[in-house]
Amino acid sequence: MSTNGWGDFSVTDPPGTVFGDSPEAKGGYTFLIGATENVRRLIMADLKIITDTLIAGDDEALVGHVRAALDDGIPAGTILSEALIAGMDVVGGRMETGEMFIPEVLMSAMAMGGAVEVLKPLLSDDDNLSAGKVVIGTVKGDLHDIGKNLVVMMMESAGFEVTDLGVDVEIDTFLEVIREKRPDIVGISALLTTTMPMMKSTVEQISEAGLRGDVKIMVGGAPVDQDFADEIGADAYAADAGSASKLAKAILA
Amino acid sequence: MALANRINVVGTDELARIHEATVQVLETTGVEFKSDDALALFRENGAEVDGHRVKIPRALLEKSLESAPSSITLWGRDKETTVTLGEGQTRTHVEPSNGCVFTHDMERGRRASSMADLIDFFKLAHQSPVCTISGAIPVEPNDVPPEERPLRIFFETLKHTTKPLKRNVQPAREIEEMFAMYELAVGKGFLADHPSIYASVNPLSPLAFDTEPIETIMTYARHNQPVTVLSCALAGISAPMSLLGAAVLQNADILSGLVLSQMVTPGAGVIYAPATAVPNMMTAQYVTGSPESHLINIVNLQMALELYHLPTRTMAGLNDAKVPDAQAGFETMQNLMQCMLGGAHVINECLGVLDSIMTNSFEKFIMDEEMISRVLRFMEGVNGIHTDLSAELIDTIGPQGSFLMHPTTMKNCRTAWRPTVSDWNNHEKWEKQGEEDAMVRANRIYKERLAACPESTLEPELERELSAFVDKRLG
Repeated sequence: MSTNGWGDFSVTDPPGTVFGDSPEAKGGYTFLIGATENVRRLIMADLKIITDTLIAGDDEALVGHVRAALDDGIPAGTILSEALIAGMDVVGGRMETGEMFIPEVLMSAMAMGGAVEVLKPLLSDDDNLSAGKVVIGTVKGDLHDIGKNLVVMMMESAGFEVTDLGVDVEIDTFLEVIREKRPDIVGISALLTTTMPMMKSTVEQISEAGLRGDVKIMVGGAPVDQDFADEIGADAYAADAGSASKLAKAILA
Repeated sequence: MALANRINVVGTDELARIHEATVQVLETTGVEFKSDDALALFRENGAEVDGHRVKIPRALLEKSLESAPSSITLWGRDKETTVTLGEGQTRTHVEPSNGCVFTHDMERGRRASSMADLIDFFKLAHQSPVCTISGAIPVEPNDVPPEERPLRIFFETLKHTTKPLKRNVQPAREIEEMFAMYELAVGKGFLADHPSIYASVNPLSPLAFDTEPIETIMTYARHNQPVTVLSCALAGISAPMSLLGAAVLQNADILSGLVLSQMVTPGAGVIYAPATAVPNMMTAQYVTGSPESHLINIVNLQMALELYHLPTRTMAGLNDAKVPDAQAGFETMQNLMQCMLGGAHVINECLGVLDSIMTNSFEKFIMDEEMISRVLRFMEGVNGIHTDLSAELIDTIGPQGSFLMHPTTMKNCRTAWRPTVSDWNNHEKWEKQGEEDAMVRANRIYKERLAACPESTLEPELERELSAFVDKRLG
């Protein structure tokens, strides 16, 4: 593990003690165990500025801060989990309380996407940070996707691997992709009252194809509510994008 | 840029005809003034006086309209709260309700008001971002002996606000006491060149002024303080059923008060206040929610704005609902839209008022603030970023794209108007938050406001001085 950039502190902080290969180095801030106070403070400062920049939705600055943190020797997995995903948790919470507005949340989510691109090649197999696989689409006959796209962005930011099938998605397409991708969650969206029956058919077909055992089905869209979700046999209903990603984590926990 | 147009009810030609009809009423029918001082003044100024009846000649009227200012700077005790009324004004100014006998709140329902209730309304008005003028008597303090009320109420007014003030009709002696008390706070001699307090004066429609309203007009004018002559005639009762006939009568009522003021002090501020109503003719009772009433008042606003160039004021948030229910909401919003878009410079009876000015509600105060803020925003029209036609941005985003993720959206998304009491959550979130209706939310907001309000806006020493002044006068 590189400790480049921490050279100034190498006299007092031998590399191995900062990011040792001990089990403590994985997850949480436990990787800081053994680091001196100075190093600890500087790493925390690096991570904090990444989190703050993410929350501010400044995509260009965020990529710069992520690169600087990598140069300072902070592992990619640590940056992702401790600074970025942690930051998106803050964003999600602020969206829920109304402190952040949707366009601001989306700027954070887009910045997150850019930062993840930088980190991806550096993540090791051990950095299994995927929150789960999601396949999502708007049902056949319905071309509305603003809400569904918000859900996609929020889920991706929360660490899900999302396959977005777009709009007007044939039932067969859902079935094929479920077989191929083996997702944990299938998200089905509709805006029109006239396409709500298609949600029901889609859920039924997934069940009849024998795929229900492996996936949870989440539904959403303006005319949909919990009663409808129960009626058509969906596993979960989310009223908005913020609660969708939170709920997705909860049902997989 | 502000809206391109105000609401106009009649064309300019009709305004000239209304003016001529008004001159005819003032010259031939005349107006009764129950005050020897006023009658003497009219006589000196060339009016024909017969008993209490004064026939106001065209020349005197025109001279008075000429001297009355088109705008008034109204000073607050805190200079930051000073406002311009009339030409040059940038937003509608808002006054608290006045004259309610009962207080209403969610827990206790309707009750005879107390001084504690009055103080709470003063506190809400002082903290309210939409309320720019305070004072008045939002609810009558029934637990204070009537003879003590004027001074005690004024003491509480000074204690709980630093905004410019509105007051009511009083005998000259009481007004002098009040001005002396005000100058304890702002410095002796301040009022002579700083209009700070205006009184709302009602003619006894049709075409008469009682003694105290006359004393109020004359005393305020002597001290260079403005008055607002508010006619509240009832079409079919104290004015003709004809809407334009009522507008003529109301115009004559208001202008005769204006003439009196200008005879005392040419150039003293007069705020033209049409507030006539179409009553419930089934019972011949005053009601406030008719969509016809402001057809009269907007004609009069047009007279003041287009012909006379005077500051204007009207009762804009009235309704006949007994509780803050749907009727309260739609009648209030109807009246606010009509009066504010009609160009009234100052609106009153629009913060909490219910039941044809009988009741003032704490929760309705909060709801009214939001309704007013909605109309204020509408009246700002399209300005700033909103004037960008955005063709290039539209091209960048293209068909099926989303503007939600464009930086211009993020940059400006907080500038959009937001409600204070309306619920904009989806159904699930609303359920989770306790399925509260607007009344419950308004109840919580007004209590938070009161809890956060300072107990006094006065320096302790000044407060003691004012308190001693009141105690001395009341013996």
